[in-house]
Amino acid sequence: MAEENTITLKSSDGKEFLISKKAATLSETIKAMVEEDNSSSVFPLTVVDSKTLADVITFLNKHVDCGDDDDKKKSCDEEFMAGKDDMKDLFDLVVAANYLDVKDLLDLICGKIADMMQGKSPEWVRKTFNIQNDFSPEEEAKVREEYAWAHEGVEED
Amino acid sequence: MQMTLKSAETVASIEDLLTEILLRLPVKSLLNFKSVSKQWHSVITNPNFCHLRSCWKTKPPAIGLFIHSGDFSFNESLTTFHFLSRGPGEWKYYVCIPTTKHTFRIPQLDETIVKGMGLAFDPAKSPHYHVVCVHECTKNGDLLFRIHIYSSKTGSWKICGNPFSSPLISAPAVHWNWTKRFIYYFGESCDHLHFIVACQYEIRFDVYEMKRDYSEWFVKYKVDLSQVVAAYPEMIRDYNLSLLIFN
Repeated sequence: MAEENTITLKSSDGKEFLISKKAATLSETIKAMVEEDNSSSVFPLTVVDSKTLADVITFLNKHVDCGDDDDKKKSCDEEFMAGKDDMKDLFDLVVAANYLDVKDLLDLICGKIADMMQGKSPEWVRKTFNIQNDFSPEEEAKVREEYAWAHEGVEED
Repeated sequence: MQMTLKSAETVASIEDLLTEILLRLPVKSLLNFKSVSKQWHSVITNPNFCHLRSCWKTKPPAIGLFIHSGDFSFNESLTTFHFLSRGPGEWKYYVCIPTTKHTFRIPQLDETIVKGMGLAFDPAKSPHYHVVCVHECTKNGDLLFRIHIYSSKTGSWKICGNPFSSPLISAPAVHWNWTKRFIYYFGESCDHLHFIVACQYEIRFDVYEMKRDYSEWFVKYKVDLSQVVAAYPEMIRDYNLSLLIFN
């Protein structure tokens, strides 16, 4: 009976994680996979590495335990986010949350990333996201001029 | 030490995901990040994004009232930021959009005794704004009030309804007893109509909110700024202060 209630998720680097169906299907993507293929018990997630998947699974298990209790969820989320300050981990998690369609996790990580972007310069954003500045110097000056007050108090790189 | 992360590139390339993050940023950061690239500029200035941002669920409710000298009516949204401001002691009203440095003088109405002036603007619904003016007029010796509405779309004033008499000012389905108290603010904030009535200059005032079904106004907040004024007496040096409500 136990197997019926659990499934195995396989990360992009081949590691397997056992998780309850109830927790796994908090992810809309996994839910759709399970509904489509009831006979399988192993589901490969080719775009999520094991480190990130372990984090996602921790989150899903915590949220299943919280049920509909919003206060409990809030303290679980705080516990989950404690010490998560590494940009790489956060970007990996947000890409995974988006792919797996876990709304609560997406909300949480997007909020954290937005907090970290506040007060940063456009140059910092370009470097972090590897974005080419495709404005001509004149165009950029014009855009910046329009919102000159918004550039006050911005951190230097 | 800063390095580019592959997953960060992925985030930037998925516009829906990027939007999710940008929606959570304060307006100042968004304006600042318009100059990141053409793609970011287009995401941030997209009317759909502006709409999502103005309805954003974590947007704080009206968090306060400030007193500001001059006569201001204030309306903020993501990309446009309109003020209705009155030049000192004269019939000159301007709509200013500080972010684009656009200033427009509202054409003068023949009526000179203006009792109230308000700006109606919601960029989520329309890029155009309206200015509502309540002014006094006399008819057969009676003192009456009349409402004119200016539309930025047509560029002209239009009379709204018939003159009505004091002390009753009528609004849809509401009668408000207009006594000697002054109405300092009338406008929409956080999707509710609000109305501020000052009891003693602007130090004590009540903020009324219109019920969802438009059946009545109720007192949402009773505000007493006397302690603030005691701490910062310079804010009351001019009785012609007006209130600024903001999101």
